[in-house]
Formats: sequence, structure tokens, C-alpha cells
Amino acid sequence: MDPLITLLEEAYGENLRVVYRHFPLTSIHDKAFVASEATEAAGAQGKFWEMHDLLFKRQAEWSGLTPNQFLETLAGYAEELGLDVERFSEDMASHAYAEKVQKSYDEAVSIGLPGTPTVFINGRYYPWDFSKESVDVFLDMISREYDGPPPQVIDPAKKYTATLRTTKGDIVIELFADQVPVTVNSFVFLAREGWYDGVTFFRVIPDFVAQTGDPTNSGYGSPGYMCDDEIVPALTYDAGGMVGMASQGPGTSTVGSQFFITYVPLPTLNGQYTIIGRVVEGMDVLQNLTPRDPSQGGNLPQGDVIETIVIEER
Amino acid sequence: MRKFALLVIIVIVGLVAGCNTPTPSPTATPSPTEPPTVAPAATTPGTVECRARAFGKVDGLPPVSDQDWVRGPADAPITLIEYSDFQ
Repeated sequence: MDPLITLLEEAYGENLRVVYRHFPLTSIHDKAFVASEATEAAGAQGKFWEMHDLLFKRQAEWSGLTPNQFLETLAGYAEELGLDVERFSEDMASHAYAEKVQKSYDEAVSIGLPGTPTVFINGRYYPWDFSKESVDVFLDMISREYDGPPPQVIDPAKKYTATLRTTKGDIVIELFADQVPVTVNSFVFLAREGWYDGVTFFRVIPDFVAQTGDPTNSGYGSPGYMCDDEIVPALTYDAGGMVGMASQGPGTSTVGSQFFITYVPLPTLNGQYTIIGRVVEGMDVLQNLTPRDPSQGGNLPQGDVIETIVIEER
Repeated sequence: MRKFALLVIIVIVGLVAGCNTPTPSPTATPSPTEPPTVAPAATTPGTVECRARAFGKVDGLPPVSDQDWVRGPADAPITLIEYSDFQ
């Protein structure tokens, strides 16, 4: 086990179950396959995890050995763990568990795993570091997701405004429901669901944009569904106060819940990110938001928070 | 690549193979340095859709079975599956 996962086991205690599956990258790790076989041979004698832990612990000791030396070392480990060494060595010599290891490897390849270690948490690919903090954010994120796209909640023939009640004051946004009906519908749905309540302006770059809308405040959060871009040429970033939807890039159909508000004209964004509205009141509040740039790392100041978003329909 | 994305979700296939995992740094930017080279096409009304897209959902991940090596309680609320090797 990656030592960092061991730390997670300590942190979560009885709340965490860990499953180990073999993915020996034989092309770059010449003894990885044999090591996996050794854990299986130990497992046949009830000591899989013991061998597993020992191999990780002594990695520096054996990783430079020749394959033959490694077999001898493994026999030594088997003895150290109180295994029946003769049986263990026979299993290794006959490759009794090679098929099982190979099957696991093939499975990993067919799923398309990028390398080792690759981790799934509650069935989802987990791309981050193994700190409890990051895992908590991940669990929080997937627990909030909706199962599908939002229901129709707006009437595009009506007028909608969204009032962002922030810790610095109100920002009132006119929503372009008639021109951008799908994305505004999603935004209104999420706002009414309370999705944005307590969410931080996690990325505030003066003279550029203030970004928010991610309940995890990590920049990764999304509502479990994603929408196509909804680009209307008449709507542009040619003024400050434009409200756009964040995405992974133009044309990627990855519009979720995150949005940003421009501080200044940003015509280079025209056509790149769906515009859903514009600020009609509270530009001064926007200007007062605490600057913070997560890409700079380090200790970021506490961001300002959206207490709630009030949708008005006329 | 990352710096041009407003938010990075995930791509399961095609990540660089290796032993490092990226940290969850919110990336970021609608980059002002990349002006579009062609006039952006307007979205055709009526074609815009939202669809379910759960974070990190992967087809073909076998569920935990009695063939697996498992450590921790069967009823634990968090299950972590690690594909790894020892070297």
C-alpha cells in the first residue's frame, strides 16, 4: 500500500475499506510481476497484507536486485513472516498465481488506467493526492451531484433576475432567459435548490474575473450534469459585469455550476464561454471582493461567500 | 493546456502514465492571451442540451468481490480501490 493510503486508513479508521488490485507495470518495473505473485503466494497462506506491507517497506532493499536474487530475498521474507517457505517457493517456481495477477493486469488495461497507483473512491476515479483533506473534498463533491440534467424550471418568456447576497453586499444580475434559455434554466434550478448557498468566490483576480459556483471551492466541483455551450453572438464580454459560465474550454460541453463575473471588458473571451447575464447593481460589491488566486498556492485569504441567491421572476 | 481551462474536471483515459498524482489545484483561466482566430459560431437554438456527467465515472470497473484483497470493514462508507504494483 502506498504509505499515504496507510495514513488515510489511520485517518478514517472503520469508515474506510481498502481494496488492492495488481497492476504490475512490467515494462518499467522488472520485478513488479514477481512481487505481485509473491503476495498471492503469501495470501494463499493467509498473509497477503503482511507480504504486501513488507514489500513496500523494504522496496529500497530489493528493487535493485536481479530476478534470481529477488526470489531468494522473497523466500527470506516468507520465512520472516512465518510462512511455509517450501510451499511458498514451490508456488513461486510454478507461477501458481501468475494467471490471477495477469487477469488483474488485463482488467486494468481494459479500463484504460493511466498508471500506478490509480485509485477509485466509491467507484469514481480519484485524481488527487492522498491527503484526508483532498479525499474529503472529493467525497463532498460526489455526494452533491444530481443524477441527471435539471428539470425545466423557467419560462423563457419571462424576465429573471438573480440577487447574489454576499458577505460584502448584494450583486444583482439580469439573466438572459430569452436568449440563453438552457443555461439560465440550469442556473435558476441550482440557485433555487440552494446549490450556491455558502459558496465562496474562490478565485478573484482583479482586472479579470471573480469566479465562484463550486460548493467544494476547489475549482473541480460540478452538479453531476454538464451542458453544451450556448453562444449568442449578440452577447459579448465587451463590458465589465458580464456573467459567464466556466467550462473546461470552448466546445467541450462542460458547463456545470461554476460561473464568473468580469471586472473589465474581456473581448478575447467572446464566443468562448456562455454568457448568462450581466450585473445591473452591485459592481462596487464585486470590486470589494477579496482577491485570491488559487493557482498561486500558499495560504490564501478567506474568500467572500454567497450566502444565498434569490431568483426573481417577472 | 490546463491554464486555458476555467475548471478542470477529469479525463480518465489518456492521462500521462506515471507514479505521480496531480493535486486538486483549481486551475484556471479564461486566458486573455488566446484570442479566437475565427469568429465563433453561434449555437443553434434548440440544440443545446444538458446531460448527466458524474465526476470520474468509469465504465468497466469491476465491483468489489470475494476475489479481492480487502482491508477494513465490509460496511465502511468509503471504499478505496487501488490498482498498483510494488516496485
